[in-house]
Amino acid sequence: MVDILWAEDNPLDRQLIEEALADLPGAPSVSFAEDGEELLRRLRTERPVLVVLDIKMPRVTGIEALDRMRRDAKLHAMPVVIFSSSNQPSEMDTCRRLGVRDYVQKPIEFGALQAAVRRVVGWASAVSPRAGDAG
Amino acid sequence: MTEPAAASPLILPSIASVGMAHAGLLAARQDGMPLRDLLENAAPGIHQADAQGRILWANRAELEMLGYAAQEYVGRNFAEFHADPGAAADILERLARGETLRDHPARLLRKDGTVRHVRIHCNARFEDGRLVHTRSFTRDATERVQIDAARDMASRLVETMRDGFLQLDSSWRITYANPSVRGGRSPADFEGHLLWDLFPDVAGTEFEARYRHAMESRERVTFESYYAPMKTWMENTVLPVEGGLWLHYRDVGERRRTEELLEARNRQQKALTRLGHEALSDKSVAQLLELAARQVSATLGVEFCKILELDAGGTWFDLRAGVGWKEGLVGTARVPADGHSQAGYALQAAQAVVVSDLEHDGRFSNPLLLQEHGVVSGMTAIIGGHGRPFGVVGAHSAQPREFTPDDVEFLQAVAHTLAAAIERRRIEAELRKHRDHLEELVAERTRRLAESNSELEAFNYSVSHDLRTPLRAIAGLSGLLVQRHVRDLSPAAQRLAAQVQEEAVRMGTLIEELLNLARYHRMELSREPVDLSKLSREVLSGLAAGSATPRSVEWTVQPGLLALGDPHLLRAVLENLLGNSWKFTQRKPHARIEVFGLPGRDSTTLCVRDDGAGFDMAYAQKLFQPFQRLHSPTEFEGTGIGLATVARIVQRHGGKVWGEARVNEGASFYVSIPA
Repeated sequence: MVDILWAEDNPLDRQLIEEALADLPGAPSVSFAEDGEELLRRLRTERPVLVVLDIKMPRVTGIEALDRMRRDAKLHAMPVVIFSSSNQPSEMDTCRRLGVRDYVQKPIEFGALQAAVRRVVGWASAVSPRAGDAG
Repeated sequence: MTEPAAASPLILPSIASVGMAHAGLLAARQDGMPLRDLLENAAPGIHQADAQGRILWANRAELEMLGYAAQEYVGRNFAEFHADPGAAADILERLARGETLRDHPARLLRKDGTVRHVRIHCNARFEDGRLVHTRSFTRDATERVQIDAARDMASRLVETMRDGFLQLDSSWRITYANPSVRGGRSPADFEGHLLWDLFPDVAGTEFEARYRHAMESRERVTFESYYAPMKTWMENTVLPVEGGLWLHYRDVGERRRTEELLEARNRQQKALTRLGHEALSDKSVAQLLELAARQVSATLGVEFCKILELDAGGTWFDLRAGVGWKEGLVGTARVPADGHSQAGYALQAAQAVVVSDLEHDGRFSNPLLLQEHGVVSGMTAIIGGHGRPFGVVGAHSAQPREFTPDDVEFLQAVAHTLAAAIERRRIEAELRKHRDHLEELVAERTRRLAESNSELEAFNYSVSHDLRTPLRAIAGLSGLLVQRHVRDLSPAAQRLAAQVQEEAVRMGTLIEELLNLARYHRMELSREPVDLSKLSREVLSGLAAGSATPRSVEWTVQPGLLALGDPHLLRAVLENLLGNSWKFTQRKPHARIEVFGLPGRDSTTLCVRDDGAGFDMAYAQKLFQPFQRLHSPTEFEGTGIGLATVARIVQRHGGKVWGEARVNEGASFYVSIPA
């Protein structure tokens, strides 16, 4: 049972996130989807505590995936955090309207990236007592 | 009239003195003499006077004629009652000579001051050669005299007047024709002749009809009619009289012509007013031309009007509008524009042309259009235009027709009105074309701008995302290298890995700032009151809190600095300016940063001043251009975008930004935002 289903298309970013998670003691379990399409497919059967979305992804973008989740009776209440390079105000507004828990911009510097990843996964324990030991 | 002398022995034989006249009269009545009574009541005025002319007795008719009572009249000298001096003396003298005056005219004064014309019949009675008394029979002839005078006057008037006067008997024979009718010929040439023989032209005209009507109906007739033989209008009065008719006629041609001129001018003015009014409306040129053609035809009373437009080549006229022409010609007919046609001639002569009789006018030939319609007279006026004439307007008739100067002026005025209206519409159309073109241009530019904006948007997105992703990989991987594999690296390799990480982070900052610069350029601007003092304090506090190394900076912010603008963008301005001050004072052990306002009515001017490194004013114009730096990275960190961002934000607020500095003495930056 994964705690976090994380959509991220870029393998290097996935590698850095995994490296950052490796340093976190008691980190929740994370499984990556390589794009929005895979994420939505897996959400039909899987029930993670938290969904993390990159925005710019091939085929189904993070915002499209989020929009479809919000229209889906089973998924519309799923906690979502955005983790993206984009700091476009318009995209931030859209995400806020679609009820994301947090919008975290991917920093460039590795130390900052570690802090950002820590903040993202922190939401898993915040939204579910099941991942309470993650914190 | 009977001879009064015969009765005189019967009259007052006993009167001996003037003073006794009244008594004598009474005595006569008392005598009951029938003859005296007869005299007293006779129709003529009768009196007796003595040798000196003193009235001895007068009958009732005489007293009534002159308006006196007997006692006012009898005893006075009859000379007192004559209006003409000497008349009485003359009468008396002739009577004294034994003359009998018959119907002697005299003028007598009535008591009321008026004059009576009388005829006097009188003589004297003599005894032994001595004049005993005179007897006088007077008839009032005033009315007769007046009638005679009136008749005389009327006859003189008829003889001298310029009006014609004819007297006709009931069989239409002329019994009198005044000199005006006779025109130098003798009365004998007229009198006794039949009216119809002498004036055969009258036959069959309104004149004959009216005369006959008057003769039959015995009614007075007055009328005006055009008398063709004399080419003039006549006012006629036909008065039935005993045994015939009086005919009076007067030439009223002049009056009629004046009236017609006035009426024509009035009509023309109305037509021009109407046309001028329509010229100002939004009617099209075609509609105006059609209206003008109708107005010209109706106002001048001509059957044809044409409005020709000169074609682009100047060789043909096109019939654009008209009245009277055969169907299908308007809009299709063409007339050569050479000097042989009336229109072409007018154009070449550059003035209106008037033709009374086309056939006998040597100036030009009749174009087919006019020939076809039997046009013989007309006028043509030029409709001016922009650079060259628009064309001509022509008024034509199949009748020979004289056009007055007013007519010509009218046509010219129509042409001018049309020229002005056409010119106005041309200019309007041109303006509209320009405006449409301009709108198209603006739309096109806007579309291209939107396109380029959206391309820029995509580009920015791409930059922000795609450039940062590998950058993050470089920074992250080198970071991992330093963090996790430090033991596997030589000190030199460690330093290199750290440098890779730093440079990647610096590039990330550069990208960030560039994106912000682009975004500030495009984003919607809000305008609200912004407390710059509060913002400045917040920014300075943030700088102090975020400083990696402890700093001694004394900062002061003037309170209450307000500007109208976008709070986010103005914060970015202050972050950049105060950030610069913070940065460029980092070498000073004790630095000073001031924020204050400058007085101004139309704008808010804010100054950020520090005592830091400053700069050389020679490079001041480079300050606000992107990527221009006045310090090397080893002196001060920076991307060279901060002040360009400030300048762009201030420009978007319609404000100004400028800087002053001296090397090593500090810098002042001014931002002025319109109020």
